[in-house]
Amino acid sequence: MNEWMMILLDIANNSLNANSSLVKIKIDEDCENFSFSVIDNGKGIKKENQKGLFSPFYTTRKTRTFGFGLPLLKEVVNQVEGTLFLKSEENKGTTIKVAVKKTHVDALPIGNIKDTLLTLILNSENTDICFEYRYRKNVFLLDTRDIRKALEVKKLDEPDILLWLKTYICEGIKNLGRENEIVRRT
Amino acid sequence: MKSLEELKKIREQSKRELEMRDDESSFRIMVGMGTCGIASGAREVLSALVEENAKQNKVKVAITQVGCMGNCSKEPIVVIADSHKRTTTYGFVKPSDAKRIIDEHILNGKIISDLLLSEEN
Repeated sequence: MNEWMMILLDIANNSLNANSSLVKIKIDEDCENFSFSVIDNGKGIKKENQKGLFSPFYTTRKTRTFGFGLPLLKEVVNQVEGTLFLKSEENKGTTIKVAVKKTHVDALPIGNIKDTLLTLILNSENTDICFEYRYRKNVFLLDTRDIRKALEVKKLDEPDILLWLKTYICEGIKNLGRENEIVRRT
Repeated sequence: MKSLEELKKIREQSKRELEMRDDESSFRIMVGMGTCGIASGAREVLSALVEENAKQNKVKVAITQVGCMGNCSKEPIVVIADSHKRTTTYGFVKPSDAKRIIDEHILNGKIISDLLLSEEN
């Protein structure tokens, strides 16, 4: 994974697969700092399984024999001297928070926000996504509950809805004004 | 700026167009979105497929994501299933291949040989 949005997508997909009805994603960014959190109300992680979470190859899934997502995340955060917080309670949900310095010499690029959000929404048939992106004083919000309510639909996978979403997200991210930013690494 | 009101209008219009479409032939496009797929660029492939699919209104196509399908070294992987339960697996798919997948495979029934990994009936 060579950008933060890939890592965020991997984490958020875990939340969607944990039978969550709501996944809240919050991103905060300014000139120097970047942080994100993914909070779900899914089935959570059993206490006895939490010890192995950051161990390479550890997984409780039946569909595969190894897991790399969280160990890789921890490794990447350590490399850039950031902070990683994970809290999970069975049947209540999981919270993951990451905070890093964009100016670190090994900092990853933020990456493709637009396609990450579109991918999540397309994968969110039974889950609502509440997305908030703050860049300095500007904010972009997208809440699939509002869209479902406005259209009186459950599924958001029709071509016209997806195309509208793609454009809406593009415009929203562009209006944050982060495209002209120059980051000096130290 | 896009608004929900605009989306509602688009929805009403496409509902009318949907009624005229041939629903007997339909496809399901599955994009591998496990950790391996994400790392290889599957998001951009998915996004490009969504955009190309929205341009056509002749055939019903559902675009979905699946987890790792096992061919990690050949990601991004796209599997196409038709209404006759035939599946075609494409590998090393790039976003620029999305147009070919929709135009050649979905609309014209032609297998894209340079992307083909496997076919099953």
